[in-house]
Amino acid sequence: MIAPADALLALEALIGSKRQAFRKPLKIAVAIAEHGTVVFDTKREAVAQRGWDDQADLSIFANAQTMSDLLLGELDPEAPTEAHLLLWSGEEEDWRALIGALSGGRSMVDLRASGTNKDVRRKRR
Amino acid sequence: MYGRMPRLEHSASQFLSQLSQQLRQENVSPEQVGALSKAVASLPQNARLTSVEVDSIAERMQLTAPHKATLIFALLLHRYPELKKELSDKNAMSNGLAGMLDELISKAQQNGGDAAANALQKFFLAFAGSRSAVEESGLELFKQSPSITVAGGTERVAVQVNGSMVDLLEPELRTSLALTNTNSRYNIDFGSFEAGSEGGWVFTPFKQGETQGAAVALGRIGVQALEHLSNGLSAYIGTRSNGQQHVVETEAMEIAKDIGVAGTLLAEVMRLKKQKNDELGAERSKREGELRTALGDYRVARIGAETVNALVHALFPEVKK
Repeated sequence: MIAPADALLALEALIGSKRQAFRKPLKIAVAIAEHGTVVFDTKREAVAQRGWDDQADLSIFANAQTMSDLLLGELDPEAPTEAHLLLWSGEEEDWRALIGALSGGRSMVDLRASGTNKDVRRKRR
Repeated sequence: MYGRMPRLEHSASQFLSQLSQQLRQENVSPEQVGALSKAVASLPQNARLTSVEVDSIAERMQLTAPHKATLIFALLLHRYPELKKELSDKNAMSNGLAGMLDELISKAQQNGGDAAANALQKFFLAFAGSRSAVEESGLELFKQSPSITVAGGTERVAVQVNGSMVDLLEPELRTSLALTNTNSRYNIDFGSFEAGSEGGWVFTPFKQGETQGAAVALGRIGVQALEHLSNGLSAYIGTRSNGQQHVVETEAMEIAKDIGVAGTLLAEVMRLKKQKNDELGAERSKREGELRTALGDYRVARIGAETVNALVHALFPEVKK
């Protein structure tokens, strides 16, 4: 398992290195229940700063296990185990901005939505 | 008797030197990434660099964001060799994370957060409401001058602080004894203590020019105490040091006297701080478990920002709104 402090470092590295991909500046507040809180601000030179911001665009509250699994791609949102805890808030548009920046392209939601629209258009024809 | 402790400071210093030679260009090339990983690999396996230390390294070396990110990835890869597959390619890692967030959004589209918010009320009412603020450090404990008595024997050097006996040669103190006064007048890096493999204490003076990451600002320690500490240890180091390790056995008591008030306070502050952090960590783990129980099936959910904020402030009362 990735330790909470290291998970936050990894997030800092991921968001920091993808900062140019954020079309809109985002403030992302992350809390790891057993560890602490950090705010990532894509428009700040030092992306990560300890603390919390009630006005953040996205807020994530998770435990250490979930954050580790999230980073390693081992969390199944459809079937979380009893060890998992992940609560979050924010606008879907901002989530998509984060996903888009992290993945360097369009998110699966967008692709699915796009595919759905095509299906609808086909059906209308 | 304690075993020999890893010398992160020395290794980190060595690492910094290598790193500075390798990071000369603005862009991070694959070769640089490899070189950086190699430099990180020179650290002891159990060496830890905290985010504060990484920040310090990045600042001192004026690392650009990509360099800093590469440094972090290299450190993570070094720390978690079993995760090489996941961490060696940061794009793969970010793509994986992005896909996961994507799935979470899909799930949020299916389920509203009302049920989770309602479940959280139980947690707030039962636990969080009665939670009192926890102070972050032990420094506030020394608003009044403590009563200090140095006492000791051949196997234990301890001092009495406000009625409690405290081992002077705490693990933290053995690892690093670095004091920085708030006015920057005294920036004293002395050396480290650790248990010798054949008994006794080993004192290793820091080499000139090495910067210690564990510097602690002790604003409440008087200038006289710092001078006493500085003079005492400088004199000791001056007469005993030639850059080699010295086994200090019976001299431990003399060192304790030389360290005097400032060293004692530092040891006590660090001990209390660690104790508080440990207690805080245990308390937070307990509450995290209670929270998961309260949430039941809604452990993964999207909820309102106000609820997330309330939850964070309940669990982390020291965090400003």
